[in-house]
Amino acid sequence: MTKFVVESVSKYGGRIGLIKNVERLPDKTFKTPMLLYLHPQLSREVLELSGFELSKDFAISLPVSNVEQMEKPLEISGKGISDFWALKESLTFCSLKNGSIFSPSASQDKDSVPIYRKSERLNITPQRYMKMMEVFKPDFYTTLADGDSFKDCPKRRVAKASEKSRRFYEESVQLKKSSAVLKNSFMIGTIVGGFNEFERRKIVEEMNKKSEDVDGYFIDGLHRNGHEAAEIDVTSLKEIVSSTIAQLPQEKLKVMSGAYLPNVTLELIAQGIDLFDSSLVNLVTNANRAMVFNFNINKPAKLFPEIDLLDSKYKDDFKPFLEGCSCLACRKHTRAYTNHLLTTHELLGPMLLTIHNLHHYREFFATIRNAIASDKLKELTELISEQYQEAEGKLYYERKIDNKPGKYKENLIAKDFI
Amino acid sequence: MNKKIKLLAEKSPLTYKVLNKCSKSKARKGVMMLRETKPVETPVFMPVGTQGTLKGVLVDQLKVDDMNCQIMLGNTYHLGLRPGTEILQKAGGLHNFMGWDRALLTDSGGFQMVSLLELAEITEEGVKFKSPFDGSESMLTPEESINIQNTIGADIIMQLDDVVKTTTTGPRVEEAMLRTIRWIDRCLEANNRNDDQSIFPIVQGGLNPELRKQCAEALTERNVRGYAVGGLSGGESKNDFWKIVSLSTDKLPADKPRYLMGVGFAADLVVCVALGIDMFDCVFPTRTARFGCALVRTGQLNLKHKTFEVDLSPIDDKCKCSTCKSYTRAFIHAISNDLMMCSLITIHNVSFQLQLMRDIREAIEKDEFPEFVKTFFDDLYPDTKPEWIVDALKSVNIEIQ
Repeated sequence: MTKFVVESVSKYGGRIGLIKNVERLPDKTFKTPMLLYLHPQLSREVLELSGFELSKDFAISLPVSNVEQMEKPLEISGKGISDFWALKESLTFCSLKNGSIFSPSASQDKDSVPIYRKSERLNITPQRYMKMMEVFKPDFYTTLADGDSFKDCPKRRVAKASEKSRRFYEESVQLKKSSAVLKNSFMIGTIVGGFNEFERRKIVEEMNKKSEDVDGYFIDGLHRNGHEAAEIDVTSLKEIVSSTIAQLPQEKLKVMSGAYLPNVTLELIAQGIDLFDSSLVNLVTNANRAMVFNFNINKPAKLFPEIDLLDSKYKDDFKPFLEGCSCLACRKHTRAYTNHLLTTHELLGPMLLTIHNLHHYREFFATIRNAIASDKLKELTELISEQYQEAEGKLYYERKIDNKPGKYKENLIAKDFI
Repeated sequence: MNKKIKLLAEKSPLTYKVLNKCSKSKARKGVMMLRETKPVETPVFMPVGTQGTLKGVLVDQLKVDDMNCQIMLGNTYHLGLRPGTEILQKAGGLHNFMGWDRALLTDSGGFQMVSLLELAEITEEGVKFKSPFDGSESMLTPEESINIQNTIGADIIMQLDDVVKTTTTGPRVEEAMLRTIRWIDRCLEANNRNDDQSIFPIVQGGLNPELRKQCAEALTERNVRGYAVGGLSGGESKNDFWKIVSLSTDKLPADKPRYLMGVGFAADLVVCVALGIDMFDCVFPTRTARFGCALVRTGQLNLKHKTFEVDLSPIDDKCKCSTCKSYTRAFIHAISNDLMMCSLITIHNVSFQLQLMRDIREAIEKDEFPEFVKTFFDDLYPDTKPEWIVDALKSVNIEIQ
């Protein structure tokens, strides 16, 4: 069965881990810290032509809120969801929500967590969720939890979310044990509770009672996805993550989801988070921008981290997004062409941006792994932080809400939400 | 012929050669050699990349072996507005701008102006129109159309023509036809890149056989490297449509390519190849893809429909496109709200059109085209076949009943 082992811990922060013995992919080893390609919208052919080595170390994340409708066909086919997606050699992760899409607070009930598809509310219970995991057959998945909380969330909401999630966790463990398909699966316990250490501790204590029941931890409920993660208060984030991690068994996998900026991601990695998703790639792409931040510590030039390709100053700029970048978009196309595609709302525009941004972010993660292995995470963090400090307040991420639950205002809390 | 002259002759920007002829119908297989680009095999379907891109498709995807798209179309009207000639000039033309090193064809911009802009008015000088952005009045003359197309730099460019609705009757049709003849001379005169861009004139004349003949004959006297048949596929009866196509191919020289503008439904392609057409373009396959419709030899599938929810077969199990190789109908149904749907179906639909043309070429080469046509229509219409198709094919000695 799938195993996670910590290979080395750098005294300068961060650790290298290995995911191996994956039942579907017995010959492969995946190195952490790792980036999961979230809800892939580039087809297999596009990924291959763009030079992504699918057979090597590709990993994807498929949120239930995007793929719930696939349960029926997959039940009939009997194959897993990565096969359906034509990415069967990719390590496949499932969780409840898409970290790149802002998910406004919704009214809650005791026995389920809502997701929205085409404005339709679906109440997901632990039974339904685990049934989907049986059908989707991901290589690892998080347990269902109520992560609908954020920085200044009312205390009562956090308490209710935490109580519900504890119940869901227990149910998930039972469901897993009694399922022939999931018995040996890699299950990641979801820890919620907003920024409330007390509530988080309660759920962690529940998990620690029988720590062999769970193979890793998903630190959730800190933001409602989308722009909220990119704009999160870093000091309080670091505090709550560090206090949570301190209570967890060190050797197990730690996962976080959402569009944390690269400097924040590095802080989280330094604390021992192993797995992230590509939410930020989607946010930057939705803002019509290309990531160009420099992560080369041997040539520590400081760049403004993103360029806005919709800006008319690029309309006759025939350079690549980033000089020296080896992605398909930079090798074969120009800023000017992309500016034209974005101006005319051509689908190829966001495609080229996704190709570049995903490539850049995956390269960034490869650099992080090298930096940890060579005890240079600190230098890398400094280089990245300086570039993002420079950009503070200048990078705006669109409030993208795909599944609108009726009318919505930014911080509106539904009456029956608490 | 001495070697030097021969070399010069080979340097013509467009040479066309008929390689095989169907022994019954007017269908022919040929090859167009275009300067600095790969050969284009005909009959050919040209997908439409209006604004310098095929929606949601990388140019590299069009070049993979199983797709092998050899020529694509761009729209002068759209490209002239955005990115505009200044940027295309700086980029060194559309080929460079979009990263496409194979053949390109652009239209004249006139048709879009008349069809998209309510206030366009045609005078002897050109097409008078109001800018869609600032409402200012401008004029697209034949010279201006060629100027813009010279900047875009496509291998094949089209004359500005005077287009009238196919259902128009009376003196306006003749006026438009005669004006089209006057305008081809102005276009040829204005072409600054005659040594690497070939202008195709356009046969007009509405549904009037006499006017069509007159136009084709007049255009044949011009020194050009290929011809187009325009003003069709605009709501006329299919009975009128095929007769005009057939009449036009009869009148046009056999040693030059013939392009039927705006036609691209599979049945029309097969019939019009039998009538002697070599080139086609149409937005339909790419447009319909965006609405979730996939083309198959028996018609089309609306993959958004509930019937496909658990259909685990590919769109077409014989299709070699990357979509059919990797994905099922059920998968595409499940992602029908995602961006990827458009890309996946567009790839399939373009591949469908190109494969159909490949099959047609192969059938002509083996002189099995009439049999191909019969099987094709048996699959498409297992019961009764539309009368116009039966009649059109009968006129070129192919019986499908």
